[in-house]
Amino acid sequence: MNVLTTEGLSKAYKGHLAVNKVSMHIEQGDIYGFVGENGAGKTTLIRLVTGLSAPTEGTYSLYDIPYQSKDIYGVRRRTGAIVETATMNRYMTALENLRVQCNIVGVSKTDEELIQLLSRVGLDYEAIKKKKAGNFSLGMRQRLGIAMVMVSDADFVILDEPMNGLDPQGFIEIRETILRLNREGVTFLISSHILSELDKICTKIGVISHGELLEEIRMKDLHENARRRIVIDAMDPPAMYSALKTQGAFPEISESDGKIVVYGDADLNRIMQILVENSLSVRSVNTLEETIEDHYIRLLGRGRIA
Amino acid sequence: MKRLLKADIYRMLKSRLTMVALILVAAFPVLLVLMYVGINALAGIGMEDGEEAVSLFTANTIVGSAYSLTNNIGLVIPAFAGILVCSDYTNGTLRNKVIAGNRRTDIYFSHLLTSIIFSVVMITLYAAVTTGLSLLFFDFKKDPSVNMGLEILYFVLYGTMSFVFMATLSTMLAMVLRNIAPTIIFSVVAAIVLVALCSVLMLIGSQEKYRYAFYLIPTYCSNYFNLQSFSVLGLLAGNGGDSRGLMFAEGMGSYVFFSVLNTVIGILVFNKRDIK
Repeated sequence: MNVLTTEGLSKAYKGHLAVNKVSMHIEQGDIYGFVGENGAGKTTLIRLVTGLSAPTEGTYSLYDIPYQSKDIYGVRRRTGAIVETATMNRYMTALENLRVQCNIVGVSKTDEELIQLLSRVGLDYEAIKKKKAGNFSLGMRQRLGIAMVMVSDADFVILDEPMNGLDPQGFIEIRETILRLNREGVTFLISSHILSELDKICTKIGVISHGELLEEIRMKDLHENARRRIVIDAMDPPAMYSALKTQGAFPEISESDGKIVVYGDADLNRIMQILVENSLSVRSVNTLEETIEDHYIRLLGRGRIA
Repeated sequence: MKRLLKADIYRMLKSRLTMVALILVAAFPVLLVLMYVGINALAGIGMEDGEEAVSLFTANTIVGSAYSLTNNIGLVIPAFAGILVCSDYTNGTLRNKVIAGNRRTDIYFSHLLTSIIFSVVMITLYAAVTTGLSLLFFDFKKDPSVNMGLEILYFVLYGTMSFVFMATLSTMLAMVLRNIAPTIIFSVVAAIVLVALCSVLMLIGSQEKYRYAFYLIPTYCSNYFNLQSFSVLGLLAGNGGDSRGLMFAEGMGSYVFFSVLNTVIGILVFNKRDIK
């Protein structure tokens, strides 16, 4: 079942196209990772599909209901989102904010259920019951924001940079929360800069750059077609880069941060042979599979790819 | 809509601004009436025995100004109502309402009703405390030729309606401007301009000559009424019950028209707006 489908969705601000003809597809059960540099158009697209802004061109549908339809309000109730930062009444406690959110989304929950919800996102009610949300740390506000999203028992949740401001423990808790909710049937759209985190949880990714969706790929396909790469920590990177490039006839070699990366099914024996012939020393040689980060960098044409 | 209103009223009750407003509307009349008592006492100093001291303030004049938009608390209430609405924007909590699938018109009406409830409760409390204290310290002059019960009803309804009208204005300003400072400035300026305009009209001409002002300036009628009813009772001479009733209806019609106009403009702009 389609949860979110966009067709040629565009948004222009004063002549500048922030989102340019984006067509993306999220199916039920997906954890869709939305990847792109700052200003790529991720948040603008999220604003469009959450109803905060209207598209200049194109259309989108939630659960196959077009956004212009009167029925869209009903399906939006099945959607929860944190856009940019978690928003709450700072002069209220966490529980009071959840009570307000219950009324906003039109659900009834007891205080016990709300306290349980707080503990599910890693907030200890006893420790924070008298604390105003304005006095929370960024990580605590982020967790409260997720609790507010979950108040509605939404089955489609959009999180814009949910890992921002979280400590490593917070990363783990949020990741586990997302995975657990996904197992319970919640579909996610997550935009994040932290590609390694997305790599651990996503079932599909979409790469956006300068407002255009460059690629949509299932993680299963990405891993199946993952290109092997050999990473060499060299003593003299420029000399090694030059030797491998001229003598090895390898299709793709890059050098970054003092490391040489040889992409594709390169023959490790041939590499070692070139190193010996040129008397080049190495600290380590590793064979790795392509990650989201490598895929993203390669897609955007970054690094010194030969 | 009912749940949204519940959320907004809960937000209002929890806000520190409401607490500050409550303290102001309860404490300010006390200071004001005590000040008037002091001024009246000073006016009596130096009088010879047998001379009757002139009371600068009577219960009529003080109560008559209780609902004034530019006197005392009248300027503060619409500004506070505007801040309450605007804080939903500045906190970013307005987003939560849109994302949760609430219609923008419902969101607007919920804000409007909260703003009206806030304004009416505050001005009623202020007027009640002011009236109670005034009657305690000053004489209230009754005009036997008029039906005082009806005059009081007109007075309260007009006064309340002027704050309902201001609530529609400050809600519209808050939802259109999305910023607290300009909302406060424009709410205060609008109240001053409206009252100044009708004061000028009342000074330069008769009621009949400037009758059109009833329709163009929504505060005109209530000012005229309040002045007649409580402050300058002599003006009532020659005004029969029928014309008072007609004047009341016309004035209320004007308020309703401008309140609806504010709301329609506010909703049209808000429905088109991108929410940050």
